[in-house]
Amino acid sequence: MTNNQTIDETKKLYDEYIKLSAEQSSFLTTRLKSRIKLRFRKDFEGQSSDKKKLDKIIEKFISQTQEISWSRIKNFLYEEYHENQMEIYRMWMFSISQDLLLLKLISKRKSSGMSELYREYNLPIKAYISKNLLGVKGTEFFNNKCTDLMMETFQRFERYAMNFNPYKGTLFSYLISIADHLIKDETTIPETLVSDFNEQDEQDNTPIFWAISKDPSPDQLHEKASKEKYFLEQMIAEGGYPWQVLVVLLTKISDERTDITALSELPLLKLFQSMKTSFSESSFHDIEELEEIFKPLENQLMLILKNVIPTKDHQSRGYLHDYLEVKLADLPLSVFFGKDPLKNIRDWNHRVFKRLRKKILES
Amino acid sequence: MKDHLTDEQIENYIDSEYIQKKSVLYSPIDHDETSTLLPMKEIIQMEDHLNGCDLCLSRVTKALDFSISFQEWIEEKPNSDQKVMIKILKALHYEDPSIKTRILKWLKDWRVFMSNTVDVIMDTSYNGISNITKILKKSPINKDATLIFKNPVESFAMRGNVNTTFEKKRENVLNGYLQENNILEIQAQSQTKTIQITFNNEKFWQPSPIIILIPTQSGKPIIRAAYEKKDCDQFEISIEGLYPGKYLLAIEPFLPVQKQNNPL
Repeated sequence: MTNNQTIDETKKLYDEYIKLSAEQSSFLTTRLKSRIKLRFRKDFEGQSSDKKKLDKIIEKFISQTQEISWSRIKNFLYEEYHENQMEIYRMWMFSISQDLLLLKLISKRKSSGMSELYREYNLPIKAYISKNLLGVKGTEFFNNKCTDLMMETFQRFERYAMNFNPYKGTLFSYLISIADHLIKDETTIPETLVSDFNEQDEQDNTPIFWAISKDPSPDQLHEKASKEKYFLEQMIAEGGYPWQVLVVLLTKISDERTDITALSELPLLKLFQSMKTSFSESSFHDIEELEEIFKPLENQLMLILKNVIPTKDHQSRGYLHDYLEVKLADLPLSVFFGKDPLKNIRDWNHRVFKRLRKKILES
Repeated sequence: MKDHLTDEQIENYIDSEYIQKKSVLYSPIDHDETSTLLPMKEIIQMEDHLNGCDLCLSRVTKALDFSISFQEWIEEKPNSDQKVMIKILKALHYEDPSIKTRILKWLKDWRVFMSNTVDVIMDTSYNGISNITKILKKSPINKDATLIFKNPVESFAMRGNVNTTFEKKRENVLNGYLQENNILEIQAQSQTKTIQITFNNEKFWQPSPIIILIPTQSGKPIIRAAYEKKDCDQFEISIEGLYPGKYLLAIEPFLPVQKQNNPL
């Protein structure tokens, strides 16, 4: 084949590809529209309710997605065991358009864009750092270091977001490359040489997104504190059995869930007291305020077990039959655990969350 | 999908799309093993419905906002700066509205706030030594800072280069300098558990300056406005009977006054 032929063939292939990608437009329109309406309604104020305006914005995103997908098609991988390969392709296209949407918000300095990026990728980035950073894994020091580097990754991303080229890779891969640099710096640059130069250089770039900013904002902190109070009150009132609520609170303050299972022989009241002290150290509330918020939970712990489990819950009553006459405060957590305590912790966390969400939906 | 979404459908949708969604390197820890993620076909049908039904959209939005906030809260721990600010915000409830307004304005730029702070160790252990009373400025002075803190007594070099200036540290006194002018003196006394702050050059400190003394472990911040000293050009604040422990002392910045009319 001559060079001219190759070029003509490629052009033809491009036209065919654009046709194929255009067939995914309805899928992408539905997904993008609902994403904007659910997550970014304030940023598209006026546009999200005006059908024509919103359609126009989405049209732009889709046409850019098609172009980008063409330039990145060689990176697209089929999932061998998936029944519907076109679905995988459509999802890949959606992930490109989602990156574009986030990038647009971030470039316009909308905090919702950074917020969504952080929500989506903070745990994967932390997991990546934790896997690749040298150090004694599982220690508090190591965990704090990983959290710091994860935050620094997002801070740097915010400063250099405009260098991101969607034609070359995903937002996630860009974040990974930033994290890689930080990990490398951490292992090669002596601590004494790191500080001043970078700080001076980057001092004026105040992050727009408070969660990754080192500078707290009074209004947002106030909102965080109110939210915490609301969650705690709701959890204690509606979250479920006291031992389940206690475990969720312990999960929030523990780095590792095995730290909770290690305490499973302690009576619930002792566990509650130590949770309260630790909670105040990582909370927006001080110990006196927490005493008041936790009072209903403490009162529940003072009850006899049979008065806590309703008679209609035959399963729990049957399982805890031997302890029904004992005061809840004196029972160790191990009594409520099954064969796999970590599974119990996982289930209780999820159940408490679902119960609270159900209440929100019913209200 | 003609009918409105049920609670169960909404919950499954949120879990599938936002909460239980697996990522490249990370899969959610908390999940219900009995529930499965919705197939894409169903998700699309629901999203199609959401795009045309404001009632369902508002219900999903409400549940989704809650779900995300709750998940974020579970992961979140306030850092030390945020905890300091929270303490101050709570103490502000009991303050005069004009002082409250000034402090809120002051807190808006955290870096400026922190640049005008010093650490106070009051009759407690420090670096393994007991019953120490010490005032120190640990963090480097950034370019926003208007005050430069120095210990007052300078000594001569005992050996080595005679031109080197050594500061003989009187650790319970710290002076604040603006250019060459000593405009602030902070003293801590172990015996009386007192902190005394003297603001030199009264004209410069207008309106009378405010300080916030924040205990770094437990306890509430103390907010004080300075009073005018009789027959001399000074303002003063004296706080007695403090508990032993570590404190952060924040002094209200005075940059705007300096820019308008520098009395020095």
